[in-house]
Amino acid sequence: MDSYSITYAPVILAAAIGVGFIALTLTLADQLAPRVRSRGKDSIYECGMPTIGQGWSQMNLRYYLYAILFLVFEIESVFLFPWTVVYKGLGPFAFWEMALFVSMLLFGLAYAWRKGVLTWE
Amino acid sequence: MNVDPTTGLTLQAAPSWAPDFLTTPFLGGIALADIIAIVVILLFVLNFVMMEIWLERKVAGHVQLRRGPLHVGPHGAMQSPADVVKLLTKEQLIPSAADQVVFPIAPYLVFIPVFLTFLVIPWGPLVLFGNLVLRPFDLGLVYMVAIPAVQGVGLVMAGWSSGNKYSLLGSARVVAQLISYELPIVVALLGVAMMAGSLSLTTIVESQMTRGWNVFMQPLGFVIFFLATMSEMSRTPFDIAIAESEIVGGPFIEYSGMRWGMFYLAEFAAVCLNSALTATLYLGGWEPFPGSRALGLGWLGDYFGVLFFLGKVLFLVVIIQWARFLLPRLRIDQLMDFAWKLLLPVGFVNFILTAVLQIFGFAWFAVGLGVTLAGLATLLTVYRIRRQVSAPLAPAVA
Repeated sequence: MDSYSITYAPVILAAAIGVGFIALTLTLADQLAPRVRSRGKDSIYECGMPTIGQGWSQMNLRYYLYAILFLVFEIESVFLFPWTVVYKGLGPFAFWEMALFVSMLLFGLAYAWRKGVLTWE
Repeated sequence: MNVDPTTGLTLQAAPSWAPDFLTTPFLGGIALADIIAIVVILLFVLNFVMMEIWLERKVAGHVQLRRGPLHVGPHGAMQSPADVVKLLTKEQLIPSAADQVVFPIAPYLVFIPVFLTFLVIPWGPLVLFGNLVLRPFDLGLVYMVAIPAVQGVGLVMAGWSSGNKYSLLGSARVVAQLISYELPIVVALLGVAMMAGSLSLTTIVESQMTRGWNVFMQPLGFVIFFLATMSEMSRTPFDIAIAESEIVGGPFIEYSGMRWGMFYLAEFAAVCLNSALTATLYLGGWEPFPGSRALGLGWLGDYFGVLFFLGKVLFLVVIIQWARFLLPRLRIDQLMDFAWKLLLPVGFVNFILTAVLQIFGFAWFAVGLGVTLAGLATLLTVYRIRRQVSAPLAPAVA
């Protein structure tokens, strides 16, 4: 087993312990809590009135455009994190390269801004 | 130091005097000490959250000229345990319109990412126990951005599976907010990583001891990180996703009893987590005060670092609670504009100026700062002139 897996092995263990804790608590609550079913109780809560239509309704398209913009910037951060660790050995060249990369991204943001993607209507 | 014989890697969960059976790795490099450490972290989180809920109700009370919980235990301190008992004995409903499989799974995916992020925090030294940190995670900074992001999936599952229009709306807002504020956080962290030249949280704390706390070296980054994490937790100035008064609780309207309790637990654990991360990254971690080494008080941090760290965490928690009760909720368009049009560009300015400082030295940094401020002033002036020209004359107010 390599050192990387050894370092991060406790994460999986912790996830298992977390799942165990939640399962235990919910089971305990299930055993302790009363269970009385009725039709009114099983319906979803919206305004207190009987609900009209399904819960799965249409959604504003805005959210989707934000998601695309987010992807671009998040991928960029994956490239910039390694850069922050090694830039010192690379000198000014590394700076100009990064500046070019970031300015292209910022140009993208400016373009989206200008196009009205960031304006909520 | 406990060294794994097969890889030569240091295991930090146990102090050096711990008996062998505690530190011998089995099962893929996990030692008994790791299991104990993880259970201790879980117990710490649960107890801290109970204390935090009581504290929050006290803060709320005193902000609103009330006294808060008072009757259960001294100063109402036993109120949270009483609430837990109440939640345990409360019926857990699953609405018939809800998705019967996804609905019960969602609470797991909401709490576990928050809990997992606690693993990377360097708690600091405590007398005999050495430096309390689970492992020397060398990618801590990436880990602490990546793992909490999974919470968004859990919240979407909760909102979608409820079969409720408000929940669905709430979960869409949660995700929009989470991803928008993820970016300023990442960009602010780039500055921190550059200052330390490392992605490990322990190294970042140690570098702050020699270079000065990041709150002074990265003031812009600190403000961006603090505001953006506050928004990530969707607490009141930014709680558009939960918004009781309009979408009655967002993704977890339909949850009740202990399942709902898990969402609540995750929310308050996230407050603790983000305070701990802010303290680690910007407030010098376990160092008692800036320059304690130079004053010959370094031993204070070397022996009781955990206490100072927890003190800083509590301080930040109270500030976050104040904000909750003192500020009104923002609208969603204001919220999105704040992230994309203000925090993100300012974050990039901070990042580039940090790079200039680190690579070209202070003189060029000063030039860069001057250019930035001049550019900002020009932009603002142009914007105001254009608005004055294009806007019609304001009608006289009678």
